[in-house]
Amino acid sequence: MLQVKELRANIGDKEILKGVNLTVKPGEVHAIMGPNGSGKSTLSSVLAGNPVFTVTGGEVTFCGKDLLSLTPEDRSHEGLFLSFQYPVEIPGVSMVNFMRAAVNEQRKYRGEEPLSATDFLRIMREKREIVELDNKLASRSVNEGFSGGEKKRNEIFQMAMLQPKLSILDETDSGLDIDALRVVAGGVNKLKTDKNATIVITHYQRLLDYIAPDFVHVLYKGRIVKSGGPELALELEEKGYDWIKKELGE
Amino acid sequence: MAASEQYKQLLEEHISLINKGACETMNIARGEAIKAFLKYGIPSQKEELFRHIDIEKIYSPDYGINLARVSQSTTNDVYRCSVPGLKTQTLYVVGDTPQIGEGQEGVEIMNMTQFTNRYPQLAQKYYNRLAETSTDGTVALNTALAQDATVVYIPDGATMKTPLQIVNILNSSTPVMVNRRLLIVAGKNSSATILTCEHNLSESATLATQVTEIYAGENSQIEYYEIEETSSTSYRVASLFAQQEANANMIIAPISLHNGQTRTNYNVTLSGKGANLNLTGLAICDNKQVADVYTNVHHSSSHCESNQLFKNIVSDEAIVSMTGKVLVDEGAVKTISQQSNKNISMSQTARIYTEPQLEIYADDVKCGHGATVGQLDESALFYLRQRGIPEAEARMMLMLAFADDILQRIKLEPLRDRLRTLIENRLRKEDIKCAGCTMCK
Repeated sequence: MLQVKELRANIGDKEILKGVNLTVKPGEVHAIMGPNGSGKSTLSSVLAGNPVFTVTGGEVTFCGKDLLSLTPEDRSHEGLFLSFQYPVEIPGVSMVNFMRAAVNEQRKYRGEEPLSATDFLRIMREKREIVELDNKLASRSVNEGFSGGEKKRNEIFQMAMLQPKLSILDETDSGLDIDALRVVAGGVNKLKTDKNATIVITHYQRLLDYIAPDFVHVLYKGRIVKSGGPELALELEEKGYDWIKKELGE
Repeated sequence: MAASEQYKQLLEEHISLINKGACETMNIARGEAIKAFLKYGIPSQKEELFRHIDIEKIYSPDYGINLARVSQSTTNDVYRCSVPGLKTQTLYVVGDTPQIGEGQEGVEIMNMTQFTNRYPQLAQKYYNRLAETSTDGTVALNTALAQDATVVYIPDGATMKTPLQIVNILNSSTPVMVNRRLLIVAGKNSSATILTCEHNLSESATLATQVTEIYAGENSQIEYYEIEETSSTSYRVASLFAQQEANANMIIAPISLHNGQTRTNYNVTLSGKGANLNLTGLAICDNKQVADVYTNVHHSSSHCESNQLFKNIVSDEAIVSMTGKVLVDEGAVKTISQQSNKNISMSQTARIYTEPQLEIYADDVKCGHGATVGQLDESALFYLRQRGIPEAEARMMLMLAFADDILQRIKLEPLRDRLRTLIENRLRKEDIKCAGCTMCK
């Protein structure tokens, strides 16, 4: 589904990603872990096409297409979803209008008719239940005045609405208490099928108790320096990142 | 200087013609106004309050003025201006002549002659009493040249049941100047909703000047909306003066969708305890449009609240400017005053000026002001695009969102809905003809 080869990216003159390699197949859950500043969020931003970053090398294929040549909106239409670490508040844009525009743009891209108002509202209602998102929140402006937990639930709600092939969850656990974490992770698990895939970016092992990864990667200084199974996450939790630095001869 | 001279000469040569075409009330005021105009003239761009708009240039062309009051009547068949879902009583002001039709229950809508004949004392008491002819040459000149006025009289306790829509129309193939007056007298416990639509079909450069006076009696509720939808060759210089007695509530909301060069002044005095003012404006300017707003909110009584919010969206080489003065007198304790000016610039060449001026002489007040100038939020833009909304559409959503809190302040719901559509069409650079309107090209 996703092949990342030797991906390099800068912000300004500073190189953040220094040759990332990653392959994700349908049905898989990959966790990317790593210390602060290792480039985890940059990787997710670059894959989603955030214009703040400049790709300086490498290639990314997503479902057979050259991902890097697509606009952020077309990456979304192709089935890539990013759950933001810090979801943006957009006063004056209502959740309903925002989601209707998003869903219908996706349908347009696929050559489908826009949803009727009734169908749209029914789907909104169904998907809201997955993450127990209050109807009041759905009628407000995008993320405006939402608590940290509500913002993250709103991200997963949008994921449910757009039904992506590949979801990248960027530090979805940050700022969540244990109950909210359970709801959010539960939502992700409900959306899981053998056809879609998830990349979970996290600092802590905690989230992986709820969303079980098939593969765990350690991103350090802009490269994936170690990959393994779920046991790698537990080892990191126990020993921290220092032993990896030692292994690398630092 | 040249601009002033031409009007001085005009006044000297044609004073008897001007007086002949107007009623006594206006002619009395005219005498004083001419003196003031001879003293002050047209303000130059060197003057502090006129730095961002060239008023002299606006007044310079050799405009024709209909001093002989040649009839310019029109019919509703030719001009229709309607807001879907909003039942209004429409009054057309063609050039500077109000086409007075029927009044409505409890409310009188008159021209100046009718007002003077029916209520000589009120005409004396209210016409040109709020307007500051003594300090601003443009107000003096309007008073010196105006020959008729639209008068809306809402007596004590009366309610205007159907909103009044005043449609100002200009249609001239040669350069023309019109001088309009609007006088609104709202008695105690009265309420009224008035919408002014500014239209211009002229092929030539035109100058429309207007002086509006609003007296809001004790505990009155006034909503006054202005929609400007003119053309790139339209010049407009308008001053509004309002006074609010105790517990009077007033909304003043000018929305400029399209114009040429416009200078608007909003002077409001909160003179009675507990008065509340909501002064809200939006301008969308592109090409070489200029929208220059001056507000002067004077808290002369205690326990009053004023809330100002002006927003602008500018692109190309447009210029917008907002100077907002708030004056709180020594005795005006417990004043709450908020002023905010927010701007979005879509191009490197547009210019935005914002200048708050607060003069506070009372203790125990809550006064704030703020101004922002910026571009659209890039992180919000990326967020919308990540969800599949194309860039152009995402920008549109963010611009509409920017205008949204202005719309939220418009209480007249059908108007708010209509404006939302008009603003969207305007931003999309589509036809912004009002529904059912056959007049706009």
